[in-house]
Amino acid sequence: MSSRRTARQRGQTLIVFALGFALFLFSLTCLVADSAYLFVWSGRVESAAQLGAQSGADAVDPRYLYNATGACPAATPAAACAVQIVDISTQDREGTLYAFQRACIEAADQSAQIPRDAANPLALKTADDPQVPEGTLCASDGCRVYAEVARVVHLPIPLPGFPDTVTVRAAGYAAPVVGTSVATSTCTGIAWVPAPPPR
Amino acid sequence: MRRSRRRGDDAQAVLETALVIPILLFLICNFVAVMVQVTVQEQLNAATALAAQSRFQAPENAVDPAGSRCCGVHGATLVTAGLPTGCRYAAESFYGTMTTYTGLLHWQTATLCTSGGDSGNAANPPAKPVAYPGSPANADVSCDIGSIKPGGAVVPGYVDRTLNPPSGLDVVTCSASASLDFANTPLAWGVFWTPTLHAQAEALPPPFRQ
Repeated sequence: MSSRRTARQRGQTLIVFALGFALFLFSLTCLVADSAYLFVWSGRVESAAQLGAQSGADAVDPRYLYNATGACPAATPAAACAVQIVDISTQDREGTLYAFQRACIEAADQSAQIPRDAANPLALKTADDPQVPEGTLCASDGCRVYAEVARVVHLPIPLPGFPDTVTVRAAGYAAPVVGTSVATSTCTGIAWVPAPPPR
Repeated sequence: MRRSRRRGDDAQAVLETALVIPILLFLICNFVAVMVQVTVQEQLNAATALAAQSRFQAPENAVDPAGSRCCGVHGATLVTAGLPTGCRYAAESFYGTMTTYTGLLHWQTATLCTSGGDSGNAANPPAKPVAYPGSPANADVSCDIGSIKPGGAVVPGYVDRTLNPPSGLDVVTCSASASLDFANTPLAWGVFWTPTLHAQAEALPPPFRQ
């Protein structure tokens, strides 16, 4: 009687153990797959931020880097203006964005493959699309161009009880330079575009 | 009786372990190899994109002076004298970004600096880029770029006719190919494939520099 009960208990333990172990293995597989996927995407987003910042820096007018000054108003045509030429003057704006911001956002959004619409991942965002909740924000402190990229990543095997998306973020910066053998950079120290508020 | 059964169980356990361990090692080797391949591919994509973008940091008419060299990181020095400075900038960015796993890569060498490629459309046949005179042919990356020669002659870059049709847009393209070889690593025990990785990037001219 006692030995039969022990055998039954042993069988029950075996089933519980088998189910528990299968669940553990499944969770482990999910965790490994999701971690690997996030690892790949974090590298991709980091590269996109670096490329975006570099593109933004390259879109700065080189005359600014050589301390060129702009044409003066008609009243004083011969005198050099005190105001430097920068590509953040009003005529370089398109919509609400300056030239360097557009270049920065275009490059980073394309590189990070940020979809315009979640249902159609092949159509990617451009500078004219809203850059929230995912997208690129570009700013400059007058010395460097900063790019902050956020990409919503859908996990391949979502863990039960946990969110199935993770927002991967990365930031990159680059100084606008131009030169032949020696790069030249000019830094005003005055923010062209203040840093975006944290998301 | 009991002793012989126990010996049989032990033998079975040894046999099972001997079967399972190689399979597990094989799987682990291939998981690691796939991760390495994905990482290298991402790095290659980033390096070619940054290389193409770097071209714009040099003025269009800048030419490297005599004695210019660059990028002797993978054992080969590239002589860039007489070439557009943008080519050297592109190469420096590429080699500076490709820093990890380089021992596993067998590069398909190419001409560093080319010009004149055309994506083509109905009216214009596609054209392959041609090498700049004097461009080194042992580079790991190849960039098709436009420039202005000292005399003022314009050398066209790559014309992408999908942009700004039908005339197209003069862009910079960079490409690189390499095969990933695990032969000199412990992974060679279970990895029997040698994938070829390829990356191509295109950079659009910034508004104030071209």
